[in-house]
Formats: sequence, structure tokens, C-alpha cells
Amino acid sequence: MKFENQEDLIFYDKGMKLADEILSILQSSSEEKDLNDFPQILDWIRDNQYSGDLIEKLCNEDELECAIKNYNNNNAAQQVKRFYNSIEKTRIRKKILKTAISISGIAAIIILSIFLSIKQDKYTVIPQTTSFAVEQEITAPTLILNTGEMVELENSTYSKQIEVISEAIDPVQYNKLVVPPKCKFRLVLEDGSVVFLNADSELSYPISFSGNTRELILHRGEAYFEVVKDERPFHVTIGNAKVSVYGTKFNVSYHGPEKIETVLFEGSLGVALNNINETRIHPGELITLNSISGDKEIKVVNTRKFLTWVNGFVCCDEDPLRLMLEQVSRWYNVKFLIDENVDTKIPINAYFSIERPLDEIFKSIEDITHVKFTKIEGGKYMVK
Amino acid sequence: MSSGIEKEELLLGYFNDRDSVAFGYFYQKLYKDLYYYAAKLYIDTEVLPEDAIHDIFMTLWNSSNVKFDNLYKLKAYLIISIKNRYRNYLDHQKSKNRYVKFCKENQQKFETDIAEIEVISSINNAIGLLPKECAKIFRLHLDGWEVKDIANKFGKAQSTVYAQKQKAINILKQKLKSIDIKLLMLFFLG
Repeated sequence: MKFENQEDLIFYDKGMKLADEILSILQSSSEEKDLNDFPQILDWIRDNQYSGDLIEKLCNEDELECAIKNYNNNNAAQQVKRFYNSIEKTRIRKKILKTAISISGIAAIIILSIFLSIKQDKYTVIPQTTSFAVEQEITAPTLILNTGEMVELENSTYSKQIEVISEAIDPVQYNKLVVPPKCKFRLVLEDGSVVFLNADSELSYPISFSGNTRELILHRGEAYFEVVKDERPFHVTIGNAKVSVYGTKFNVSYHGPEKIETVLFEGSLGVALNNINETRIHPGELITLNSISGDKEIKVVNTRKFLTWVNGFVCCDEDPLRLMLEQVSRWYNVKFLIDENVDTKIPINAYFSIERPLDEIFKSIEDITHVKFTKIEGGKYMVK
Repeated sequence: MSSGIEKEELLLGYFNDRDSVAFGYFYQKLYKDLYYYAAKLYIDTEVLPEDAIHDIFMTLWNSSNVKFDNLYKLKAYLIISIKNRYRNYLDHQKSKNRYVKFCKENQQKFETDIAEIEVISSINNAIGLLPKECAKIFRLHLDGWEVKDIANKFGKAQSTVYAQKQKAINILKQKLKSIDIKLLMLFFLG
């Protein structure tokens, strides 16, 4: 980064060093300090005509209290929200531009590489052995109110997010938010916490947090949480597992009762099964929980890839083919019937925008693996 | 295990790629410092400090070639942007006096302002280290709440709230007491 005016940076650095020296005087316990240890302060007091003002401010109790008051007298959360709203408006335009630029390097758009070669001796067509993607009737993000009433929210695609700000009407009442495939959704809770719901996900949340805890239920899918710090613990229930935090950022992905993945970005977090044996993890760690067997596995991961979906990218970092297809299935609302001879554990490296056409993604996978995609009927593909 | 600093580096990487979540993170993180400075500059003008900060972040969002290797540089860049924006604002105002005055006092004042932001923010963080109950009550006190209203909010006796507030002030005073003496000493010695 280059600064327009290098002189500004020099004085900025000087100011920072000065602050360090002032603070180290404040923090030192001994009254006797050799002033020669603080050359910056000495120069500052001698040469800078404003030094007296600041010293006075720090030494006068009322002025200091007033300064601290001013320091806190603002609403960052609200301004961040405003910023998000503003960039949302420019985003669509930008994406089109970006796509145009990246077309020149189209070969690089999907980078898939294979680390294990698949050995497929024979193809025997055995129809439908496995299938995933749940039957969907809802096609737009839908809010199911506690009264049972269903409200279809503006049909949003990945490039558009809507915000629902819940208002406290009747406490302890839950709304359910259903996000169908091909969409994602940003929800702001009553306490200011933000939830990004991935495609094909379902979340119940209270209209207002009234009790001593903040309780949410993730029924299926994936969600990224940015929890506002508060003395009330924030709980997300997934089946019979529960994630507890206070104020932090984390991502939960529910692949089924035997695989619940939680990644922590900052702060601290605990995962418990049936409310017992809470396991705590640290930032940068992923915990995979099998809620049937009770097995827990913790590993350090590159958290970056767990955030990509929020911005509409699919990222596979030596993930098994099956996981990649699961994501594609969510984003493109398609189903895969996988031949049992296909090794779904082949590790795949891929990074692509969910705006890429499906054909292109299939082609890239086909080029590198021996897997073939065949369209069967509306939205269903045979993989062999 | 990734430490706090590594995590921030990682987030800064996203920030450089213009990732909205990372932008929001640093927006929130640096907001108080930036606001304190902007409010100081734009005092007595019709410009709202939050608008100045918003504009600077929007400009940065749209200048995707501007990248940072560390948080220090990012913060420096933002603060300097606020200062330059203010200078341009004065330049466009009809009052030549303020502009000339600002340019004259510019760097000395800037250095002192930076020191002020850092010291105030550190003292403010010290409030966060107070016992939890104390800190909560003291924050409300700083927000201008009356003892009576704080007592109502927490369902506590006024005397309890008063005692907690006093305790907070005493702890802080103890922490800061040395400041008075030492800084004043420095001042006179200097």
C-alpha cells in the first residue's frame, strides 16, 4: 500500500510511538521513571504546542470521563449494516464486470485436480443407489410464522440478499425461515446478531430473545453466525446436539445426524450432545460430531473455505466428490443418482462461482475424473 | 492452532479480496477509533462523522487495487483518509481561515490526535477489565443514565448501584491515579 503523502504516515507513526510511551508510563508501577527512557514524550512536550492540551485532558477527571464517553458514543453495528446495504447495491453491477473479465481465463475458472486415480474396470449400470437433496416445494425463501402462516419473501437469488429484522411482538414465539436451493439469506436477529443461511436450509428463531438464553434451532442445511456479545449464552440446537457461544463467529453445517460440522472463526465455542459432555474448540478448529455414535473429531482447518459460500463460491479443498456434489445439488437445485461403482471419495480441488453454468462444472469434473454426468429428466442427473 | 494475529491476517486477506464479511469485521473493529477522530475534526460542521467514515469505506471497497499487509497500515490509511477528506472539505468551504489554520497546524496536531485516540482507546479497554457488574453499571453511567434508572433496569436497590458505580470509579482511579502524577510531573519537568 502506498500513501499519497508519505509525511502523513511519518507523523502517524510518531503519534503511535508517543501513545506507546504514554501508556507505558501509565502502566508502570514505580513512581521513579527515567525520563530519558521516553525520548518521544520529551520531544513532544518541548516541540509540540498541542501536548499541553492532551496532558490536561488526561489528567482532568471530568475531561477524561467526557473523552471516554465520546469514544463510546456511536453505533458501530448500525453503521456496518448500512455499509452492507450500500455494497449490496453495487455488487450486482460488479459481478457482471468480474465475470466478463474472467472469461478470458475461462480454463482457469474451474480448477479441478485429482490426487487419486480412480480405477473403474467395468461400468455396470445399476440404477439409483443413492440420492440426496430433499424434496422441495418451496421455491423462494419463506418465513413460517409462529401462527402457521407462510410468508413468501421476495424471491432472492445468490446475488441478492434480503434482510428481515424481527421485531419484538410476542416473546418466546418462534418463526421458521426456510431457504430453498439456489438461494441464500441474511437474517438479522433481534439482538443484532446476523445469520447467513445457505441454500436448502431451515432455521427456527425466536421473534425476540426474552429469557436468560438465546435459543435457535437449525433443522437442516448450513448457517454462518455472527453473534453479538451478550451475557445470555447463544445456543444453536441441531438434532440432539447443541452449540453454545457467547459472542463469536462460527459456521454450522448439518449433513445429517451422523455428521454435524462446526467451524469456529473467533472467540470460544462448546458443542454438547444431549446437554452433556461439552467439548470446547478454539478458533480455526473444526469439530465433526456424529450425534448417533457420539463420536467427536477435532481438527485444525483452513477456515477460509468455510466462508466462501457466504459470497456465493463453492470451494473444495481435497474434499470428497460426494461433498462437492452435495453443494452443487443445493446451489443448482439438481439431484444426483450415483452409480455405486463411482468412488465418491475422490478428493477434488475446486473453486468456482455459483453463477457458472452447470454444464461447465460437469465438463470440468468429467475432464479430470472418469465420472460422467447424464441428464435423466427434470433436474436429475445420473453419475457414473 | 491459529492465534489471534494469524486470524486477523487471514481476514485481512479476505479484506484485500473485497470480501464483505471481512470488511464488516474491520469496519466494526476500527469504528470507535475512527469515529472519535472524525468527530473531533468535524465538530462545528454540518458533516456527520459516521457519513465521513462510511464514504471512506465505500471508496476503499471500490478501489480494489488498494491492499494492506497488516492491520496497522490499514488503520493508518483510514485515519489519514479521514484527515485528507476533512482538508478537502475545508478547501471547498468558503471559509478560507479554517483551511489555512488547519494546514498550518496540520502535522503537530495530527501527531497529538493520534496519540490521544490510542490512549483513550486503551483506557476504555481498561473499563472492560473491571468486574463485569461494575463495568456494566459504569458504562451506563457514562451513557448518562441516572442511578435510579440503572437500578430499575437491573432490578437492584439504588444503594447497590451506587456502590457498584463507586467501586468502578475507585478501581479506575487507582489505575489512573498514577497517570495524574506522572504526566503532570513530566509536563513540568519538560
